[in-house]
Amino acid sequence: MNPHRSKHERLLDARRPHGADDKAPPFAEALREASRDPAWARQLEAQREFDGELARSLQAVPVPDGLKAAILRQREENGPELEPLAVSVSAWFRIRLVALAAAAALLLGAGLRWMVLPHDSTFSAFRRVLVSEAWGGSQHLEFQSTDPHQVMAWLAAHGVATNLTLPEGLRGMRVHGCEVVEARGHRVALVCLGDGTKHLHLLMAQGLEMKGLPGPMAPDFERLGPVNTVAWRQGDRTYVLAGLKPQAFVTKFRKAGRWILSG
Amino acid sequence: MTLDDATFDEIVNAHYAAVYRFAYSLAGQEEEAWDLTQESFAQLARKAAQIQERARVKTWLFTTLYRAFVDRCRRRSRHPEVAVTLLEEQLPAETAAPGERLDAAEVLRALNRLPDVFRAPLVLFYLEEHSYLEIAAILNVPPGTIMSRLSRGRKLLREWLTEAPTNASIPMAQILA
Repeated sequence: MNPHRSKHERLLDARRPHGADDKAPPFAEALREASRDPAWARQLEAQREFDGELARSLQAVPVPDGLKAAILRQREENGPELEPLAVSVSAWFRIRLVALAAAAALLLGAGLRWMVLPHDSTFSAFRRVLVSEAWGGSQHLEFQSTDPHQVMAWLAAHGVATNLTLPEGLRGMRVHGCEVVEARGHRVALVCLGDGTKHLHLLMAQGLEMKGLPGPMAPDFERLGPVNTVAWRQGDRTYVLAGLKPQAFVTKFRKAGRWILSG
Repeated sequence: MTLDDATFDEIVNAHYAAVYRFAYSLAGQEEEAWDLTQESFAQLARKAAQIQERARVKTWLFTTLYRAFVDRCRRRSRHPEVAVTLLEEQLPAETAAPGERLDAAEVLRALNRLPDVFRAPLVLFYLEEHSYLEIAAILNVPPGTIMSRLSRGRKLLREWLTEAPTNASIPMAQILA
């Protein structure tokens, strides 16, 4: 084969779909040569059509709602001077990191409590105390079981969460167990769930009466330190889910444009 | 490059969708694509001083995202295969207009079959129409290698996507019409 043709074919294989390269000298020369061979010209035209379709398909991939807002919000929260925690560590360091993280969680718990003024009786304050109580320390389950029915029965037997069922968005997750958390005079059910590496707490309180409760079936997102939380109300029950990123919550709980928050 | 809030907003507006689509084409799942996109812009917020001119921001974002994706793949023991049904559930059924041969689900399915070294340059080529020289800079690979990978990857895609259609590959819009 003509070595120039081989070189030109190789170059035209890298020609962009909508003609951005056509006027650049190497490409223009290759196109001139191709135009002198009808079979080659037809092949290039077919390639251009295929490229155009493929480009259109990729450019039609939908972008999730909320992504732009999340990017902008993250900049506000993090600021330009914070660096991410390195995650690529050896097993030996990992053990130390886990111990440090547990200590940090205890400090977080203490810190969150200190951030709440004693006289603040709003739901926002209650939520901070609740999450700090639930998230601090590593030994937090009074009852351990992977059977959701046993877990619900235990909670009911301890005077919280009668007839509680897991919201649909959490049903695929593995249950680890439960406990009763006391926060500001309220007894709250806590169910611990896992999904691979994710570790979540679902808290449920009945009969809360305080300012700032989330709207019925309308999730309210708030990040408390390093913990993502989302709260919603269903009837006389108020739920707080801690440990799930907002976008993951949307994926699990929003179907066909509606929130599916009930059990 | 200094990065005040207004400039950052402009950059996000201009590029977040393309960056996300690149992430999604690599990762195959929305949550990871979201994380990769968010992390790329977070790094931009922290390291804008490293970028000498505004015109280079887009390339910088794509490069950063690709490196983050490669790091994640290295940390995992295997890069997981994405179930075809997962992709189909995440794409609207009406993506393909009647008469179009290719829909997004088919294309992403075919791309997912490709090795990463072919997929990344092809996605950059089709999604953002980067030139092969730009792709070489983003992926830190010699231009000649990029030309080979584009050529070979495209050949495979064309074989897979232009086979005689089966029931599974007819765009949903045609079935419902």
